[in-house]
Amino acid sequence: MAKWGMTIDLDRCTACQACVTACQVENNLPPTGPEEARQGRNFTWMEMIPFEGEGERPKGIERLLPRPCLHCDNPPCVKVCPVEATFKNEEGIVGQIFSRCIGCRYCTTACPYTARYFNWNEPQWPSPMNRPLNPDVSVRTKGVVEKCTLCHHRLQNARDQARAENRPLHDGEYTPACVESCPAGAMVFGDLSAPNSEVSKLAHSRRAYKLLEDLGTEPKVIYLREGE
Amino acid sequence: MLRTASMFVILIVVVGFVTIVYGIAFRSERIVQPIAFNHVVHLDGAGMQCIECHMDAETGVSAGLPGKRICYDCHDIDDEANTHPEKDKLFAFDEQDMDIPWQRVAITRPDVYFSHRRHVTSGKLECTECHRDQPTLLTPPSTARLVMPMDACIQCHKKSGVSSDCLACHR
Repeated sequence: MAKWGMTIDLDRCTACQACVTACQVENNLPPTGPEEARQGRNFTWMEMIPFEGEGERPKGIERLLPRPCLHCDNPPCVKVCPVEATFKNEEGIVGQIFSRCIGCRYCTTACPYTARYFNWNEPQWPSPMNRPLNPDVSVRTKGVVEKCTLCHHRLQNARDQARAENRPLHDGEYTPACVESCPAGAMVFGDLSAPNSEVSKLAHSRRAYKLLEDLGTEPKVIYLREGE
Repeated sequence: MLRTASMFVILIVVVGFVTIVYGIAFRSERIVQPIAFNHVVHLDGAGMQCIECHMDAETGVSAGLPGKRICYDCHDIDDEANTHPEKDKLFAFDEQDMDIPWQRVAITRPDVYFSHRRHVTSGKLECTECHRDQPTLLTPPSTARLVMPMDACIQCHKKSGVSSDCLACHR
């Protein structure tokens, strides 16, 4: 059974935010306006987190760290969900069934990476942005929490294609939109349980580190330290 | 005795009122198809297969509804001997340069992802496993035909040994 994960190389990331835009389009995230931003109600499943850079650069320079849901192996959000709307599946993806969510927001509080977002309003797209919604992804309604699903629908489609051709799923056939869009090649996605996969090798390199590792959440999105 | 009788009358009135309100509120929407398509004549009579009209069932998410060109493959537009009343309807769409506005009778919930390819091609399921008596219908159904509770999906998934992961069906 595959264990899907991702590495993000902070040396390669230019903070261009192509991943943010790709994620929004792929997963039917409505644009939020200045009013929502003032209230702290913006949401992007892939968010750029400001942090202070390391290495040769002058201290104090602000850098941006792309942060999707980290799909923890020990996810705090799953433990607190009273209706089992969020869960970790066999392949390690922390899923969210939007129609089951009751909007209690325990999970948004429990997530130490602030990777969960509550829908304060009904989603709205100005025309013509409302036309090309992705039919493989639902449109979430007001009052539910949502998060990155590692573009699970892409896994489904890739697996369907492989089954139709009577062959196993090959490495690289399933890639989330953020990874696919990265022009700098900073993100590598794949099976962490396969010792020879690129993502697995990078995840075990000396530059690898996990966000807030001491919490024991065991995230499967692993960062590669910059400046080495 | 009189009090019991009046209580009984009130009860009847209340039950009747609730039934009428419930019936109005939850009546199923009637679906009228543009052509009274007869599945039996096409499947049993002409020996056709479902896939000949629902052409995307093996390759697509949706099975697809047939366009008028598929009808013309067999039905001759100039055949004056054919006096079937539905024929005129079919050709009227041609004159108006529009396709047949079929109404879908099997619609999944917005949070459910159902792929025909996954079930027909990979799962090797017969159409009737879900669409039940659709091939035996002489006239188009007037209400939504496919009521598929999640329990039925789960039972079949367990029996077939395929994934029951929530993410496999919910999107």
